[in-house]
Amino acid sequence: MKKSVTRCLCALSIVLVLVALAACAAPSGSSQKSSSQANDQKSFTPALDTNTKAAISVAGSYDNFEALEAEFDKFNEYYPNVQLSYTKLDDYNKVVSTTLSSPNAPDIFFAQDFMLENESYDELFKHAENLSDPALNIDLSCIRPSLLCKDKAGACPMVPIFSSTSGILVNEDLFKKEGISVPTTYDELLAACDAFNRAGYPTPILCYNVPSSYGNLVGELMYGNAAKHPETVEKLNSLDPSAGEYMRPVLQKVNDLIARRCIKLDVCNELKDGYNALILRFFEGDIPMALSSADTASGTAKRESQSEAFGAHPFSYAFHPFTLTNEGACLLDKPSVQFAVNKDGKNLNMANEFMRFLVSPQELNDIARAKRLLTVTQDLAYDGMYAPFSKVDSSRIISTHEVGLSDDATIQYRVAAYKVANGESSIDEAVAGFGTYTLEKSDK
Amino acid sequence: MRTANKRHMIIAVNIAVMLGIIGFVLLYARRVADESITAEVNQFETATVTMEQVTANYLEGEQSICDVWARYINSKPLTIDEAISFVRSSHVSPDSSAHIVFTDDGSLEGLSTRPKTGTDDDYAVSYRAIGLPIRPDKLDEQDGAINISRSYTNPMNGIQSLSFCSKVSLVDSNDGTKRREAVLLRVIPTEKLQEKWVFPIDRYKDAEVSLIDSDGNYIIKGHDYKNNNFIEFYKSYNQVDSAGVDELRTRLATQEGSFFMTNSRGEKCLIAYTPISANQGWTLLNYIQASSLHRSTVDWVLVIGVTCALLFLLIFDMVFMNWFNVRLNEAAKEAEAANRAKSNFLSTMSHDIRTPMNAILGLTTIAQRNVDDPTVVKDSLRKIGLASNHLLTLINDILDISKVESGKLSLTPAVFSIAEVAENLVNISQPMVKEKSLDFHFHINDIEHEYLYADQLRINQVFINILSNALKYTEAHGSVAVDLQELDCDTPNMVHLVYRVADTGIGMSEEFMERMYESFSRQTNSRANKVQGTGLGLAITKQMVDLMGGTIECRSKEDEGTTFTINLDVPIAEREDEDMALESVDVLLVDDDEALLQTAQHALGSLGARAEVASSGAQALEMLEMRSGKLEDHSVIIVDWKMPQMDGIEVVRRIRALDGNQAPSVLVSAYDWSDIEESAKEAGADGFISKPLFRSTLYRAINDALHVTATQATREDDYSDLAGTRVLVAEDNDINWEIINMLLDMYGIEATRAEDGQIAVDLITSSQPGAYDLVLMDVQMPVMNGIEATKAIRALPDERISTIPIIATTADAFSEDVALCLDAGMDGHLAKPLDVKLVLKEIRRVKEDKL
Repeated sequence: MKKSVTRCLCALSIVLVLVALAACAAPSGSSQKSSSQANDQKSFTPALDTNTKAAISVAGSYDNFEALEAEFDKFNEYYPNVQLSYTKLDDYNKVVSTTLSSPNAPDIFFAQDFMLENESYDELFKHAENLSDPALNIDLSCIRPSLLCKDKAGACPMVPIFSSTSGILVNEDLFKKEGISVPTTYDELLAACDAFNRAGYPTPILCYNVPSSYGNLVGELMYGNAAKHPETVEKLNSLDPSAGEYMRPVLQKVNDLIARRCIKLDVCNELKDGYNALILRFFEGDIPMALSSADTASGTAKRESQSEAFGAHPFSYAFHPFTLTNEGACLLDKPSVQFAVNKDGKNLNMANEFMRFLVSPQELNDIARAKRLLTVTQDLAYDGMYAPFSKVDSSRIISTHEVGLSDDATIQYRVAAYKVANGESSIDEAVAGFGTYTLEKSDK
Repeated sequence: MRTANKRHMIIAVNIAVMLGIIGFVLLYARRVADESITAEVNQFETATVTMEQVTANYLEGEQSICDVWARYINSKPLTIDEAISFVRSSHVSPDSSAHIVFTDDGSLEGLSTRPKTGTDDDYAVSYRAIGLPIRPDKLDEQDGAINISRSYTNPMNGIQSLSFCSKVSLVDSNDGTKRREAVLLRVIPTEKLQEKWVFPIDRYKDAEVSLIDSDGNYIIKGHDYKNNNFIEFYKSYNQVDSAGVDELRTRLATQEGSFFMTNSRGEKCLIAYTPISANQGWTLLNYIQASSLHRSTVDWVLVIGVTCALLFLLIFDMVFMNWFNVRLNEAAKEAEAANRAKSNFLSTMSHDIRTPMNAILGLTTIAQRNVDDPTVVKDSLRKIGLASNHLLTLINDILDISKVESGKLSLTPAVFSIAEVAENLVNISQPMVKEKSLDFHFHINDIEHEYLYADQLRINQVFINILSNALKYTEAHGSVAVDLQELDCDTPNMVHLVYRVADTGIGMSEEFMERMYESFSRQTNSRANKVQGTGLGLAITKQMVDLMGGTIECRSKEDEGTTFTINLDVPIAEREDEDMALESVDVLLVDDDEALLQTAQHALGSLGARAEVASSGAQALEMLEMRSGKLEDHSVIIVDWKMPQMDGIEVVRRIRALDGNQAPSVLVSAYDWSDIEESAKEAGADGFISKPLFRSTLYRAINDALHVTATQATREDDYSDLAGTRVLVAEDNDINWEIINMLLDMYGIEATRAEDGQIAVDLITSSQPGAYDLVLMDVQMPVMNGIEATKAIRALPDERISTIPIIATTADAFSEDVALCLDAGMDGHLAKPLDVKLVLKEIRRVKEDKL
């Protein structure tokens, strides 16, 4: 017994000393954390020599892309000698082609779905790697098919990193307080608006009252009708004046919403600072619903701290599908930022390797959550704020680029809706004006 | 339990102290490391300030180029084409370019020195989409002022660039009289600029440089800087409130310094900052990971070494403490065992001493009460004698074992005769042999050297102990055989003595044999219990044999007997055997023991005698009859007493009856021959000798038979020759004096008492030479002890007095006591209690030596 106690004490002292030494010797906890993170990334296996030295540059239009920089850090756990950097290009859409031709051409660059059909971007896509090439071993299956854009040859020159949609920011606490369910049909929407009006809220639905933001209001009907009637798309895209009639049911809904005071424009017109103002107004806590895009909704997290009202009285909110039909909630699935790889880049293999790393459910979800944007994977509930969209029936997912409406066509809808909502035009006048509408810079 | 707790507490304290030391070392090491980091931080800040100066110089240089161009353009009425042509011709660097952009009409359009990427001749440049990267109204036209733009994308090549700007005034291309306001931009790719901000010191090769403007936006962005704004980057990964942000922003814009922050990977990093003096609002930021600063001066080898040493010390201490505790436990157990042994010893002693004492006192009482009954008195005195002897043996043994166990037993070697030892053994054994009617044999074999050099007393003691045990534990009519043999020894001048005693006694159990050499161990059974013993004899014997470098072996079986064998290597004495020769002596030796006959014949032959042997009386008579016819009688006839069919007395009687045979006859016996002395003399025997038959024994016996009329046996018991001897007895004890006086008086010896040593010396000194024949000197006496008294006497000037024989009579009976006495000049030693026969023998020896 005595011997065993002595041995135990000896062993204890040795363990204590070793633990103390180990604690002192350990450089920091971060390395342990990093290694555990690396262990979590079991799905990714480096295909290149992990000691490879390279510099990968990503060019885009975002002023700030910390979410991507976080992915750089994770990629560096596998390839510590690879330096990745993100650069924002001024006047991106115009300058990107020039940049790709310069000696400092980026290895990865932003691309948009509308560029694919636009001849002025042909030069850009000449530099784009076919990311669906099986040799690259990039797992595109983890991306919702409705978001993948392919060129006429069937190649996939870019992969979506984020997606976007239209919807409403919902103050769930107010709905609970008033005993109202978040609407999933047009009728429920009207009923909810009536209830909130009766309760004396400033406006049931808040929106940024400029023509460009009306896409959030009419997008479902605009793309939904075109999807149901593909034969109308060509007419709409060609801005044929007769196609204005396709807008009539949409404009009627807009008119009804205004008439039933679902959207009180006097309140909306108080917003002087665009989307930032919209979010901060929503955070005042007396707005049940705010019409916005997912891009706008992504700015909520950052602005929570900027809102004194929200800081004082925080509430539960989420981004919900918005519908003007009784067919149920709809997901207007739009690719947002897409990455293309410069096949003429100095570090093509490593750029492809980074894309192979990034295009995985885990990383795509992580980057989307970090940016607070809608993920491009099937796991829409990955970020709680977008979880309501995970309940949308697959038949109610509308792929905007598959519908094929041109940007000009959507502008006709948005301007016409703005005019009707603001009383600048009657429905007939708005329909008649189809093909004549443009978005001024101030309208954006 | 308390001891265990204390031990645990000591261990815990040890561990605590060890951990404390390690902690101290680590803290100290950490402190040293911190100091090292502080020094590193200071150096990093210094490097940053140095870089700021380099940066300022660079910016001023670039701006001055732009200003020179502008001054030239402004000094002449140039159109935009002429101006751009001039600038183009002034270009040296292939990486940079220049733009001239009109600002007066808000078009922000103009010309570039280099064509748009992908074209050869498109020099038109427009800043309409991105805006001019510097506000024209903010351009400072003072000499030395630096007008540098934000980082922006060069619309001509899509490369991130910075521009150094100057206002220029041009002539309208269409209207030569119209002046146009424009801005000249010297455009330099930020990548090229970054290359100029490489740390000049190798130790900061991992450092990264950034330039930020007053809002925190990066102008130049290092790889590990995140976000597009340093303040936002800081906020993203570090806890800071709005006041902290404001304070940070102010510091960055106005001070030099540094701070640690957490980067996007959760790593600690150092930011050193300094405002760019040449361009207000800009701040140079240098970034380096804290781990890169750890130019640790901590000697980890030392730390680990100290730790290991402490661990070793702790473990060593614990092991040593454990070992020490084990030793203490063993010592405690030994002490307890010794204490128990002491108690047992005292208990045993008490019992063993009280038993004979009880007999002595009880029998004394019986004798006193029956003083008128001589039979009872005689029997009591005989038994008192036995009990006293036993008590004496016991005391001697106790003293011996005490000395043995205390390691104080030492050997006192001296020249002695092995024949005397054997004779003594036979003599001592005779009473018991006779009492028990034992068949006793004492054989000697090949004894070539009678005089050896060893501690005779101890050899005697050993031999006697073994023999007396055999005699004691052999029942009546049993057999005891002693063999004493001399063998060659490997060591020169030594003999190997083998002393073997075999008996047919009660034997010993195996269990007892395992502990028979332990003190006070006695076999306990009904037969052994009948025999008196102290249980010390074998223990003493074993210790003494070990001390003499010998071995003792024992074979025994219960009810069958025991054989002890002692092997000793004994040095041969330098003393020469006396010149013994029996020339022309014809000896007839009669014995039924063939071995004895052979040994004796060999011995006689070595003496020069002729020896015939007969194995029986009848054969001897036959041989004598044959000789008588030839008139060749034997010189001496030696006949063994105990022989089958015809004993030695009968043989002598028949020899005497033979016609004309007058050869002297000597009877040989291994037994006490006093009982047969009368009948033997009557039969015609001329002498007696005891077995074993050494050469000296035979020589003396034959000489005596041939030349001496009186037998030694007769002389030994006749002490009449000592009558009239005057003895000075130095004895302080009255009773002892009374006893010795009465004993000596019984033999006509006159004794004079001296009460102490001093009186003895005085009496001797004052006496006439020859007044005393010898002195019996007690050793321990008041005033002057016996040793000093002897020395004083030996120191007397008169040799006739100083050479008086002195015999020690003392209770100090150990060999070293004997040696002490002899060294002091005494001539002999007698141990108390005194055996009167030994006293008389000693007196006789002294007197004979004196003669």
